[in-house]
Amino acid sequence: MRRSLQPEVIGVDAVIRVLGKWSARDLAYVEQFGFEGTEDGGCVRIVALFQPRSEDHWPDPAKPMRRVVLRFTDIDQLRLSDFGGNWVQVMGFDIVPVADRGWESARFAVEDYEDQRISFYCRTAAVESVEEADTYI
Amino acid sequence: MEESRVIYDEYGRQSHRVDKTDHIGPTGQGGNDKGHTDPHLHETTYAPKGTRGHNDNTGAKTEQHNLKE
Repeated sequence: MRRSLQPEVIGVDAVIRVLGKWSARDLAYVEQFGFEGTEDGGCVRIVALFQPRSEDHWPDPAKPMRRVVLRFTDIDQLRLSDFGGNWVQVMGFDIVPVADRGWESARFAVEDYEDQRISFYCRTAAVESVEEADTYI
Repeated sequence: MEESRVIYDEYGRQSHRVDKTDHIGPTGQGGNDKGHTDPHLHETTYAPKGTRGHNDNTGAKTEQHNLKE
């Protein structure tokens, strides 16, 4: 059997247990965004509010959000745009595997395909924690 | 290049944006997530500072609507 060489986001089982599925596109708001320069290429930690996308409109203020902490390592070409204020909404967050492009350390492209508010490459992507308590926007 | 049409309110702020693309996600990720229809609509509303879900600096909050035939 031929195995996929594409990397996977680590720890998504915790999100599946709470939300029923994992999709990076369910990220609706960024509460905290931190970059730390480290010997292994730097890391980004994002505290975000997730809500599964619905059939018609999203996000829905009548439905709860879950707080998910994401951690990325070996960061390259980090760009942020239009960050500020208390609620940073990201409408098109995604974590795209790019290992098949042959770059040395970039295995994921992290992006906001709607408004380009977040953009960087990284080697690892992981779910650090999921808070089960309901949060409403 | 994605094609969009933007509609502004009386104060010159973006109120609606129609994206003529499905962002390569027409089938969504499963469950109720149907992804994006082509086209789909972004509706931005504005509220006073301190309103939940709205950015304090811009007052903006956006919802994505999938458009059905």
